[in-house]
Amino acid sequence: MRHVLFIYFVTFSFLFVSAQDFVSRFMASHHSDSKLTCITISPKMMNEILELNENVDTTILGMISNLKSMQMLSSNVAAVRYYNDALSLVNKSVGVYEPYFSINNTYENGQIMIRKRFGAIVELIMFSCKSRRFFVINFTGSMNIEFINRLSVLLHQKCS
Amino acid sequence: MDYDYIDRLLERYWKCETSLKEESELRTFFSKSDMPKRFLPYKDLFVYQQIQKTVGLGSDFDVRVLSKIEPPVVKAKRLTMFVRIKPFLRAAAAVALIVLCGNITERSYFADDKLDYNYKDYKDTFHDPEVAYKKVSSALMMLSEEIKKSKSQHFPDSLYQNDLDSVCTK
Repeated sequence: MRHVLFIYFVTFSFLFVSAQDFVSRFMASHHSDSKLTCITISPKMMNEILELNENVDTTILGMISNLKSMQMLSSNVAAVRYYNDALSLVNKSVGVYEPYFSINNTYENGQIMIRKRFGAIVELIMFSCKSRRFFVINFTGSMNIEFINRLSVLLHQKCS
Repeated sequence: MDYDYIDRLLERYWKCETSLKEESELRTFFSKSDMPKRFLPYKDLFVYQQIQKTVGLGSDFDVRVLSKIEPPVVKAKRLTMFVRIKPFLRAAAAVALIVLCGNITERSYFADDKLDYNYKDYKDTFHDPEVAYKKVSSALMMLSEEIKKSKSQHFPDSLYQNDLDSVCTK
């Protein structure tokens, strides 16, 4: 009987554990840090954004339709320390995040990472340390490679 | 039969003064069935001694005792590799079964919704959708810029990047 209960508990244990996005996990260890500024856009607000009709770019709105939430973290001090903390958090989360792009040069260090679930990209993270400024952009939603390709040419389209 | 002699022998027997020969005489006397009534109370004692002389350990005594004190002989059994790792295989199979059940259940549970995030704790920073839109669009632009930079770092000679740069600097 005990064995049956144990197997039952292990099988359904995932129901009791919800995932947290990268910024939430980062903030869990920095929750009392006043040097960090966190911006949160919830799924409810994302839906409200999609209902906007005026002063919106349809291309961007189309991209937002793939997104469920956004969290943005920034700090103008101790950028390198925060960047290293973010890196160590990624390294601790073995098998959760996959590196997608990275930037490493004299002026900037940055990582773009994704989290996949059942073949879809459910989280897109960028954290960077640039000009003494640390920032993290964290999107959750239902994304794919095509979404990232569209995102990569977004600036190009806006410039042109 | 000289019963007085038997009486004397008995008296000396109780005082532990009899010799082995005299004790043998007493046992012989008491082994008979015909004797005066006054000797009957002592008959059982001497008959018992006579009987106990014949009681021994028996021929199988040594075998019985040795079988109890000697350790049982265990024959060596050749164990194959499969038999040796069988417990580990069982454990691995049990773990695999649990993981498989969990995975199947999880996939069926989240079949329509791939997102497993808990959004209950999210508190909006902005309450105006237009401000939120600007923040999201600027974040998307920043991400786009970073991807562009990253691509240009990894593929510096690509024509695509040159084309992008030339367009953006116009």
